[in-house]
Amino acid sequence: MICPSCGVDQINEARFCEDCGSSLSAPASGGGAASAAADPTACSQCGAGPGAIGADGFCTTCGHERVDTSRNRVEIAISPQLAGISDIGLKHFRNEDALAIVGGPGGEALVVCDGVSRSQNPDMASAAGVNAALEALRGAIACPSANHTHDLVTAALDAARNAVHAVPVVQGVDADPPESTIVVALRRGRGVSLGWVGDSRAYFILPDDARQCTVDHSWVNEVVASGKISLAEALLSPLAHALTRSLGGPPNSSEEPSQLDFDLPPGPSCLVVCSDGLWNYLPDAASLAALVRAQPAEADALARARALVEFARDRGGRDNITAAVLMV
Amino acid sequence: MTSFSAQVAQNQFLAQGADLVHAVMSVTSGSATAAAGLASAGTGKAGQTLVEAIIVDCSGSMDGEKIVQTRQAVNKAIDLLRDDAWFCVIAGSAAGKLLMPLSQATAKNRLAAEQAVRHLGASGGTAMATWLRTALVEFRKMPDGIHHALLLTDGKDEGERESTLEAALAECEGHFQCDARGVGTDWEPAQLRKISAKLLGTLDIIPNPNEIEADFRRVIESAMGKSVSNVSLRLWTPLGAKVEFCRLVYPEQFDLTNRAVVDPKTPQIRDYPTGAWGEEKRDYHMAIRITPGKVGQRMCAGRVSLVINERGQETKVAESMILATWTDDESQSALIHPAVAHYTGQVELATAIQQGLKAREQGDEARATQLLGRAVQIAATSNPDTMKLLRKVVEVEDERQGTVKLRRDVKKEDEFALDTRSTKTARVQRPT
Repeated sequence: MICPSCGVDQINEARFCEDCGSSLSAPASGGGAASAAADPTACSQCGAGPGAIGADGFCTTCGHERVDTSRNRVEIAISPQLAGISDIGLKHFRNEDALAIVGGPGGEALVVCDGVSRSQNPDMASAAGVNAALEALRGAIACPSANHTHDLVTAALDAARNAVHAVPVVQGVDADPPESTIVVALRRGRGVSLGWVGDSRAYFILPDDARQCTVDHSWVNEVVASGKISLAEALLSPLAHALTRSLGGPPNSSEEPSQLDFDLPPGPSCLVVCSDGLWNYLPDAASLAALVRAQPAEADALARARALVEFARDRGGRDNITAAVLMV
Repeated sequence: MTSFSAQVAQNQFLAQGADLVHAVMSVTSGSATAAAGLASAGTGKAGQTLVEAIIVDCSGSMDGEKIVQTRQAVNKAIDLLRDDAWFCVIAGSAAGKLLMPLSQATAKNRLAAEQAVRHLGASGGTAMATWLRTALVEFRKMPDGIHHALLLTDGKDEGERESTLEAALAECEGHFQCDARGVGTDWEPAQLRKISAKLLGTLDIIPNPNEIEADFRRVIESAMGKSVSNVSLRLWTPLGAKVEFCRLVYPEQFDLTNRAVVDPKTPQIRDYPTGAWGEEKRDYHMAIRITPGKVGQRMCAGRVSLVINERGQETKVAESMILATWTDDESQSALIHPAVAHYTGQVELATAIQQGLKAREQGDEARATQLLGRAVQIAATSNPDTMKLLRKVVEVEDERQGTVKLRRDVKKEDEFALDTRSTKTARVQRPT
C-alpha cells in the first residue's frame, strides 16, 4: 500500500504510514476528517474505529487525542456587516481559539477566546468561554433593555470565567488547569463596551484613523507600566508576550478583567476583535486597518475577516487565527 | 490481600519533532483489604503460600568454618518459616542433591530437615545448573505458591559450560525467583548476577561465614513478606511505538527491556515480569519512542498498569497514563522531570561502577579512574550508601569534579560489595 501523504510503500497490514505517520485507511485530505467527525468514536488520526476512542478521549490504537476537526475552520456570517472566522493556522494541530457572534435589535456582540496551549483542555476552555459569554448577552441582543452595556459585558466576562472553571480537569496530569483569554465587544447604537482578560484584542478603525482599544495583559505591558525598564528593552525579553492574566489557569493567577466604554463617532467605522494568531503578524493598528481598508468598497464583513485571516496564514500561520469584523 | 497504587511522574511536553517520552511510575503495594476496585485482586486468604528452596553450595571449598556456619544458617532459616510454608533443601556440588524434598514446615518436617542438614558435608565440584534444575522439579509439585529460592555459593560455576547454566536459567525463568549470595571472595559477581538477574532476585556478598545466618534471616523474612506472585507490569503503547527501555530503578536498578512477554494477538501490549510483591515501593522508568505530532497535539504515549495473574485469571490494577504534548514553548519542553533525571543518574552510576571495576581488574587504570570518578560525582549528591562503598575503593580528591585516585590496598570483599551493591539505588527525593 502506498501512503497517500508521502508516497512510501507500506506493509499491507499497516494502518498508518511508518514513514510520515499519516493514516492509510482514511484519505489524506479533508474527506477523512469529515467522516471522522461524523462518528465521534472513530479516530480522525489513524482511521481506527468506530469505538476506537476511549472514554478518556484517546485513541486505543494510535494513542492520539480526539480532535474536533470541525473547528479547524469556522466561518460565521450573521449579516453583511457582521462576520468572523476562526482558523487552525498552519502549524498547530487543533484550533484552540473559539469565536461567537450574535446580532439583533439590541445590537451586536463579538466574542473571541484563545485557549492557553500549555493548560489542560485549552480547546474546551475557549469554547466554554465564548459560549457562556454569548449566552449571557443573547437576551439583551434579542430584546433591548435598560441595562447598561458596561454591566452586560461585566456579566458576560463573569459567566465566561465560571464556564472555564467548570471545564473538566484530568487528574494526575502535569499541566495547569484549563485556561483561556477572552475579549468581548458589545455595540448598541453608538455605544461600544469592551471587556477583556489576556492578550486577545479589539481594534477600532475609522476611514482615516485606527486604534488598538485593548491593552494586553502581558509581561511587557506590566513591566513597562511599572517604569522599571523601557518598552524597547522589555520587548527583547523572551517573556515579553507572556500572559499575566487569563480566565482559569493555575490557582492564585490573576483573572481580573479590564473594561473600556466609548462612543463611535458619526460616519462609517469598523470594529475588529481577534486572537494573537492574527496580531502577531500585524503589529500595529495602522497595518491592520490598512488591510481592512484595502478591500473593495462592496466587500462585506466576512470578506474583510477573510482578508485578515489569509494574511496571517500567508505569513506562516504559526498559531490559531481568529478575527471577527463589525462594520457600522 | 494486596492492593496496588501507582503514580506517573513525567514532563509530558516535547519540542517540535521530539519523539522520546520518559516517565517514572511509582508503585506502592500494601495489604489494604478495603481498597476499592480490588475485590478480586487476591487469593481471598491473607496471601499465597510461600514455597522456599534453600540451595547451598557443598563443594570441597566450603569445608571448615563455611560449612559449619551454613548448616546453622539453614536450620535457622527453616525455623523462621511459617507453619503453612513449604520448603526443600538442596545440597549443591557436581550435582544438585535433594537433601530434604518439598515438605510443609511442620514441627516433624523441621526436625527431619535439621537431621538431614547435620550431615551436610563439603566435597566435589560446583555445577549450579543442576542445583537450579533440582529446585525447579520441587517447585513444580506446588504450582500455586510464591516460589522463592535462596542460593549460597563460595566459588565459581566450573563443572559445566556457560551455555548449560544459561539453558537451566531459561527453564527456571518465570517459575521461581532466586536471591543469590556469595560467601567470601572466590566467587564471581558477574556469574551470580546472571542468576539473580534472570530469576528476578537480589545479589549480595557475605564477606564472613559468621554472617551467613543473619543474611539468610533477612532473605527469608523478605520472602515471607510477599503476598502475591506473578505480577506483571503491563505497558500499552500506540501502534508503531517502540519501547526504548523499561527498567526497575528503585530499590534496585534492573533492566526489563528484553524481558517483555508479548501475545502476538495483542502486539501493542507488553508484559514485563516483576515477581512477587509484599508491602513495598518500587519505581519503574520507561522511555517510549513515538511518531512526533504537531504543536498542540496530545497523545497517550503509554498506559501502564500492573497485572496479577492467578490461575489463568488476569486482574489489571493501578493503571496510569503516560502523555505526550508537543509544544513550541522551549521553557516547557526543555525541562527534565526530577525523577527521570535522578534515575538516569542512578543507572549511569551502576554502569560506571561495574565498568570501572572491570577496567581496574584488567589493569586499565586510566579508564578505571575516570569511570569510578564519574561514579563518585553522581553518588556524592544522590546515593550516600554507594558513596561509602566507593570510598573504600578510591581516594576521593574532589567529589564535585569527580577526581579520584585508585586505592592500592583495596580489600577484595570491599570491591565485591561495591560491585554487587552497585545496582542498589537511592529513591528520588519527592518535593514536600
